[in-house]
Amino acid sequence: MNLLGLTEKLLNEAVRIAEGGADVRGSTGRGMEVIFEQNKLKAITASQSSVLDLRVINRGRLGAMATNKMEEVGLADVAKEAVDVSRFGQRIKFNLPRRPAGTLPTLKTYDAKVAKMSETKLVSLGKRLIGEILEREPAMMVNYLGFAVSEGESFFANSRGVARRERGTSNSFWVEISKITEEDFFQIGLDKTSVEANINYKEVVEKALEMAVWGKHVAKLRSGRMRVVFTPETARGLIGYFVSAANGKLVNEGVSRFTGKLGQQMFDPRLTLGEDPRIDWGSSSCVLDDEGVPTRPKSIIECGKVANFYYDLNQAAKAGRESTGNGFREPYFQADPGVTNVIVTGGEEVFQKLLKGENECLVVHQVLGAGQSNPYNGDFQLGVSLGYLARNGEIVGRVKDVSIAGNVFDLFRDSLVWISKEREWEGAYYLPYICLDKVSVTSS
Amino acid sequence: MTDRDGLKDRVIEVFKNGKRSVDYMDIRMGEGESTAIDIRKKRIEDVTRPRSFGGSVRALYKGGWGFAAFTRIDQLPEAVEKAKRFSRLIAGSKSILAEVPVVRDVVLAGDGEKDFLNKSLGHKVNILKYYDKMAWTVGPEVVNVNVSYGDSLTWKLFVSSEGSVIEQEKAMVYSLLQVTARKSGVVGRYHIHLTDTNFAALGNREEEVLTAARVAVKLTRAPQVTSGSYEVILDPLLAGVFAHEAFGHLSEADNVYENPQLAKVMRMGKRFGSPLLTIYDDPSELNFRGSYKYDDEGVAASRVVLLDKGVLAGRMHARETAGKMSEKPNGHARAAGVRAVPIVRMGITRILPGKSSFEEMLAGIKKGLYCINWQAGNTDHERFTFTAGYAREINNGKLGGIVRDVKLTGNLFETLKKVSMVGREEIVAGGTCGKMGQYIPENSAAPHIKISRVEVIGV
Repeated sequence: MNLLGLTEKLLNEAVRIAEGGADVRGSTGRGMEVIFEQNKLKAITASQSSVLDLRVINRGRLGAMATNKMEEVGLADVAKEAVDVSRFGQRIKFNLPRRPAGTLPTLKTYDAKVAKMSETKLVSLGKRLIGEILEREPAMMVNYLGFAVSEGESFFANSRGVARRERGTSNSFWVEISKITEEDFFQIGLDKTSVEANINYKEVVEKALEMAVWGKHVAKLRSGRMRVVFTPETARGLIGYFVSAANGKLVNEGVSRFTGKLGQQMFDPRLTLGEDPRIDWGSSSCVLDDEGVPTRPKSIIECGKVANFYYDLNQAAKAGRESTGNGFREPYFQADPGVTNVIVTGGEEVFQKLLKGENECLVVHQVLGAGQSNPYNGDFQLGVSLGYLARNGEIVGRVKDVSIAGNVFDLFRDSLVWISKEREWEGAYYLPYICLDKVSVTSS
Repeated sequence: MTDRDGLKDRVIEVFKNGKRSVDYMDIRMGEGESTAIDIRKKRIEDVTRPRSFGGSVRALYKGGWGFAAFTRIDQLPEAVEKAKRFSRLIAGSKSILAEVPVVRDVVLAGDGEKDFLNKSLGHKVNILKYYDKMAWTVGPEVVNVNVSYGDSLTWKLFVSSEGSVIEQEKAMVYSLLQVTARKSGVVGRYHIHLTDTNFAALGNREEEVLTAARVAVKLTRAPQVTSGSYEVILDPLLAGVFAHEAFGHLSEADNVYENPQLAKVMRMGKRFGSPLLTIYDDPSELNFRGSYKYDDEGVAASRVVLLDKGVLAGRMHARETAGKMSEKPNGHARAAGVRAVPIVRMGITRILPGKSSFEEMLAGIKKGLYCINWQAGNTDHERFTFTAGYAREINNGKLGGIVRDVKLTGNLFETLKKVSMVGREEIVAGGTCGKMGQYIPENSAAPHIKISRVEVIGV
């Protein structure tokens, strides 16, 4: 039986015994990775996944089950178990969504060229890229270089007539080069992910090589407060604090800084960010969320004001609101509020020109310890694993043994210097370069 | 559960059929059943009993690895062909695997480990609710209590072209209680493990639950730590994370075996740390989260001393890394599930206890920090950062008030040399370690340790 058949069959089994309805999300994926290690081709791997996620509502309570045994036999049992565990499940106040009126748009999320990429082509591409790196920087090693391509398909169906098929592709490339001595571990890691086949590999490698040249000289840095530039790669962590604070679940729980602050001017008016689930080729684009609710664009911070919170069905019901189409579930997990493509509005001026205008600043490319801080308070304390000192737009050298700390919410209120015009995709985040003043910098 | 013997026969059959066209091949397959419960805000947010099945094939030909995973048994022949084809595509050097004995064994989970099997879902829910309720009682500052629970029983099969056939069962229970408190905009969080061994360990945890909740409340009033260098005492939980992050990852041979630059830094016999410091990894002691009898290459797990009185003495190996470095294999190739590639990992990483009492450690510290419990840790092999649950100030040998947001960082080579005292009694703690996207259960065990200088990043 195929995925569609299994999804429908499981839904039918569940609807027969769960009095309040049910929904099922069936998904399968297959992927391939070509992996180079220490300058050499090391492994080629093929992965496969499949899972059926079921939710039932019975006597006002939610029950869930998941299985990756993709066989017709046993599905009735899975449905029975979901109803069984619902005895202990949470009492819910929401209804499953009805089929949306009108026709839903179709987004571009599937690139056949990605699905068709061959291992032999990636092998020769990888060899060529490694050859170029070693020719230019013979003292460095290519620790890792790899390609991952995958395609996935999912079916969602619920007991109130919603049914939807989605297809997607993912294409990623990563490279890590290093030079290691007793006194110095110099490591540069870069990666790029896209829905489409058109990753500019050459550009990623050029960027790594440029950083290798900049890093040959180590620059001294004094501890104190100074201007710090976050590249799109590291800006993602900072913007994540805002996205997380607007999560309806954290707002409901009262731990978000934004609780009770809707509509208030909390930040610099130049800060605007939001979510757009419906862009073609966005890595998290979708028309319905994982609970069958239509997605829609929304702002989170608008000109420094807290503009919107986002909810799944459950958290929306708790807050006395409607789902905003932000119910997402990882396989084997319950739905939770989540976001799709996060877009930060760019500034007026290009990065190079802005950097020229700075007397002295620290440009942070990679950090250590992200995700370890207390996100609710907005505090961050990070080791700078790759950063450069810049003076009037010129890179002076690489910094070592430097940490940075601050409070994201305070810095974006009082100390935002500029946001660059150009932006880059970091996974599902579209981010500019961001310069913050008075960041605490410790050099040991 | 499915017919295990039937599955085993089908896998063994693959090796009988057809000519051997690669140097080495192994097939892993397994299934699992688990229970997950999540309580938040006094309500059950999630309760589920997921099931999983799958497997993978790994083939080695002239130094090239091919790998293919599958989720249905009928996809096995296709996966075998794919893995072989991939390995032949890479082939270019020589296949080198350390010699290991052929093993035929069946390892079952002990009754004490799988004691959750005869507990009803209602019983599990009630115990968690009991602790949840208790944590709310400490004060109005508590805004959330999250109790999560997971148990699982998995069965996995390993069959190799060398003739090994190993079945292993593993039972695990893990439960975490996290309290969030909030006062005047400051959020304090603190967590403890309710159990990381078996179900029985969930009993009699009232004192710890209340203490954890009180700490979360106190943290809302605690000042943030001031940045700077400190003399510190790490409690056993944090010292264990220190051993894992600051030294364990660097001792995983896959970083070293084909990287001459790093191999030069990590040469055996080199002084690396204080003479007081001995660190070893031994997954073979059973009944812990990170224990196993055979790794995912069918190699018996064994004790490996990584750092012997401060001198580099060994490293953790997979068969290939051991073979290429001409060192002894020690069974440290682990995969996060049967559909993932085995890579070199830790199992149970320990700091050997020393001679100092906690009082002796405190004495003589003029201005320092006693860092307690951990939140998370990372390393890039040169530097480490890890976050303590909280810290207490030490002034002239006396413990003082608590401070929050304590993140320790430093150059790990320098810091290992600064371990100035090692405590007497160790505590074993369970955790989960991520590497290359694979998350696996592990343990670390350590006594209190004192470090003469560590950087603390505050605000």
